[in-house]
Amino acid sequence: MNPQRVLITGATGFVGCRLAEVLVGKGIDVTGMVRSWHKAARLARLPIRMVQGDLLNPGSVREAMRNCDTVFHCALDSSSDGAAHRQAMVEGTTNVMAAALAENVKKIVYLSSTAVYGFWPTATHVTEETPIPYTGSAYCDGKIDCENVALKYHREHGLPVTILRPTMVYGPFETFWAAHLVRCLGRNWMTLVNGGAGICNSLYIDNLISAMIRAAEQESAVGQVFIISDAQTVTWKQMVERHAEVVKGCRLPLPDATAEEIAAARADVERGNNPSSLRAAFRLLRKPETRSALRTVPMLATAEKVARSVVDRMPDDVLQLVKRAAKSANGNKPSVENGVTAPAKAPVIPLSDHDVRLFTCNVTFSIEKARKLLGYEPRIDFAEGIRRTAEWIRWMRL
Amino acid sequence: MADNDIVRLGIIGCGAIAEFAYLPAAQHLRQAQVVALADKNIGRARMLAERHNIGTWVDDYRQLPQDLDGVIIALPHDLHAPVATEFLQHHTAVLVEKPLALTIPEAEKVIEVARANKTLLQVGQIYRFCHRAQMVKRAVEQGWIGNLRSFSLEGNFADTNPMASGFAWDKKRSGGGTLMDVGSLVLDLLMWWFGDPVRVEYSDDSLGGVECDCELNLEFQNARGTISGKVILSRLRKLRDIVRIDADRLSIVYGFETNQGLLELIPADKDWQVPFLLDVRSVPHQSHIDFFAEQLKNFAIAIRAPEKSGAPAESVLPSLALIEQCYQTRRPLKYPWEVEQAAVPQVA
Repeated sequence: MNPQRVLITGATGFVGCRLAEVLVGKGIDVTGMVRSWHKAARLARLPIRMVQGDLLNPGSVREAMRNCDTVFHCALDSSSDGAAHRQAMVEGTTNVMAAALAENVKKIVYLSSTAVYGFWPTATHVTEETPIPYTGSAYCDGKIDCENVALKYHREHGLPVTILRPTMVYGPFETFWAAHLVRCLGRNWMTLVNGGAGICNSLYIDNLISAMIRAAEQESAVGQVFIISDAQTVTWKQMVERHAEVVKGCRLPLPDATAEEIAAARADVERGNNPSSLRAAFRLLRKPETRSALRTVPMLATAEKVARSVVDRMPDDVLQLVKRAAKSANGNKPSVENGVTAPAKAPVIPLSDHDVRLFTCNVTFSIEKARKLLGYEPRIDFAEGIRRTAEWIRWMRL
Repeated sequence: MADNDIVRLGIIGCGAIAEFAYLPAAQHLRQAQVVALADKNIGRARMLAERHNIGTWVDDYRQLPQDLDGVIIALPHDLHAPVATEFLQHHTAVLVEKPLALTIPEAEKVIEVARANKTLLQVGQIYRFCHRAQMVKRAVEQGWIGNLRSFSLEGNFADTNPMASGFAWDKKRSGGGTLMDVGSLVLDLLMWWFGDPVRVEYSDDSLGGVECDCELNLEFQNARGTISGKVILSRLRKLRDIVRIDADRLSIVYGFETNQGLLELIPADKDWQVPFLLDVRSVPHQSHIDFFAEQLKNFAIAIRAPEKSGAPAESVLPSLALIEQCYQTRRPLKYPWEVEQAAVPQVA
């Protein structure tokens, strides 16, 4: 069936808002469920009905759903974390399914995630048949619970549910991941891991939207689960470097480190030995222009005189200690051996274990089922998707 | 009322602007005191009243004490003019949040009511109470900076404070999006400095709802020459909140909203002595709340002496007319990454 009157939960979010734009463009009557009005500026550009509601309030969910034939459940509670986050996800999804049953909704598309396989699946090629184990992550486990709720409503009540498991969605207005990446790149605080050969399993937003609409339209999709991803295999090197190209001040090529080097750098930080901030401060202070600028501040000029006077009065052994500490803080300065200066090695950036595992992931996700049953074909390739994303980053001035 | 009497004010509408701007601003005023709040959500009125030690809160503005010297109307836009009219008819001075009204005829009508009842009607044009904006006005009017050449203004007006209602996203109630809301401040400011524009080009990103981002190309002609420039107002983009004015002798760059620490005066000739009144030292730093405090101070003075009002209602008519003109001549603002424009039905 073709949706006529649609409710989108999470309509102010990245996926929900783009979905609303596309549906409105198709002339479909859209209701957007909004929890926080101040986040609705982008959505408000559209001629849609907006209703304030909270997924944890069954009455407000049902009210928002009234007279709708199709529901896209995209909302994700982000007001809590841990067990509370998981519980809120499940309770919210239960309320959506119960309201859909009561309101005789004709189709529900639940936006799950490939996180149901865990952030780092053990299988190298994942299909819908791959087991979905609980991993202890509130988000991943919560998504599994939500899928189970939706499928239970389908099995026990005949609710026409379809579940989509998108991979890593990117594109204009994805502000969480892109903003983080751009911020890191702008501070030159990003490194490739193992040459950036890991697979990022990207999914351009409009490809996901086309899959969602197909899922709502296809009768054969009812009761089914689909992985949705782009068709191309994109590495993290491609993804990160294409972002880096549009970030002001980002030095290219990006540094590269092995997972082991990063783990060692992280261990240093955890032991409190990493002098990176101190080193950066020393480097800055060594610059003549910094020093002369600081001397124009009267109190600092006085402080410098005092510091010099203190150093002059230091006993030799204390002075040696201070010099050794400063040398240690200088870290990877070029070493001079036999009069030859070796090139300086950039410091290893201690990415989190989560990031390293993400960047070294070599799992691929199959979209064969979606192709076969939904007729899904990702229309926007990586070159075009990242071009649009780069344009957005520039426009957005991230 | 004696000159040294404290002005007694009521606030009608206890949404974000009352909570985060007017009430904090009123706390430190000697000239005025907020003594009553009204909101149909009595829980919010009571909560804010208790937080600010205000003795009276009501769920209907008609139940406010009769002896108020003035009221601040901080309601959804469509209620500004009707509620102002009621108070003016009872000879209570009104400070109404911008925009004064949704249309020019509605604005003219409420101004006429104020005139007929000889009662002050002032509009919340807080940028006029920014010392830097006042400095620019003096500099332009006095010709200290030479002939005007160009200007640019860009601002990010993303809503970060929780909104008590969604009226801002309802075109019928708000009259429009970013242009109607913050454009009321920005266009008023530019016209306060440069006069009426002689050329206007406007585009926004509305797809039938209210615009989020808008851009204007404006040209002004006045005694100091012709000045043209671009205005970008956004609720999405991380813009710099900056205004720049380039004139023959001097460029003035200052930040506002989130960027208020920025103030630069760049002489074309580095040996040129910047007039003292333009000197950084003569422009004390103000926070956003300080603008509202200055405005309230001015309103309190103007209640006694209406001619001292910093933003009398009739003075904002030109900017309201410009906003109307922009909406009538709008062109779609296409995002640069978009390759196809969805055929979207426009809603009146």
